Amino acid sequence: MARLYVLANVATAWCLALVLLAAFAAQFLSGEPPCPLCLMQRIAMMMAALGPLSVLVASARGALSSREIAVGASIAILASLLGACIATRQVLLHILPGDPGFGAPMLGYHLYTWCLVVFVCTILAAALQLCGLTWFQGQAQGAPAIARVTALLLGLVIVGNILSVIAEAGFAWHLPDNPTRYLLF
Amino acid sequence: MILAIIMLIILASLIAFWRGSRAAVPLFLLALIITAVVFYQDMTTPLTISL
Repeated sequence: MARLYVLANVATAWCLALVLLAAFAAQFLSGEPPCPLCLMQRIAMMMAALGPLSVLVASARGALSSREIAVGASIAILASLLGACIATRQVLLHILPGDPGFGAPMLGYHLYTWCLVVFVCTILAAALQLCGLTWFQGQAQGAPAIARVTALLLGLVIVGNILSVIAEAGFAWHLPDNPTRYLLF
Repeated sequence: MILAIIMLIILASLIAFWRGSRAAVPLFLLALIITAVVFYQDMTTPLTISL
């Protein structure tokens, strides 16, 4: 059961990190700087990834317990709820017939629609983990290498986004609603 | 710039989780609250994008 928890949290953290990487790649490949709502969804996704990461780190230390799993799941749920609210707002902004939406669609849907799907799936995964605590017993030893690589990947994604936001906003406190270029350059 | 500051707090929270610091969850909650406030400001500010 404990190994299943480690596996589930590795899958959740990597899914969120890969979605963030895909959004980052789409930003540069399509040449479209992200809007403030897009960036807030990325921020919520980064925060949601902290939940499974905290479980992996506890597991790597050999201190995986029901408490650690519950804290990790609650972090993922709180961040995903906020992210789902932000994504829903952006979906509703572009829901009128004839509205082309913001940015280029990917696999038939815009990135904010995919974000909403990802946040709902993250909430479901965290809720299932909380339900599964009924059968969780004792502590488990995890894989420190996986936790280290996951933390490194998430750290790099966050640092990349920080540099991108600074390039996009320049020295302005807020981003423009519809950014078309990087203000720092 | 505010979004970069939030991301910096998230990075600090990640590092705190990795080091096993007790500041990790408070840092996460701080980032969550600031993001919620920025989102609220965004919702209550008139839009300037083209619909």
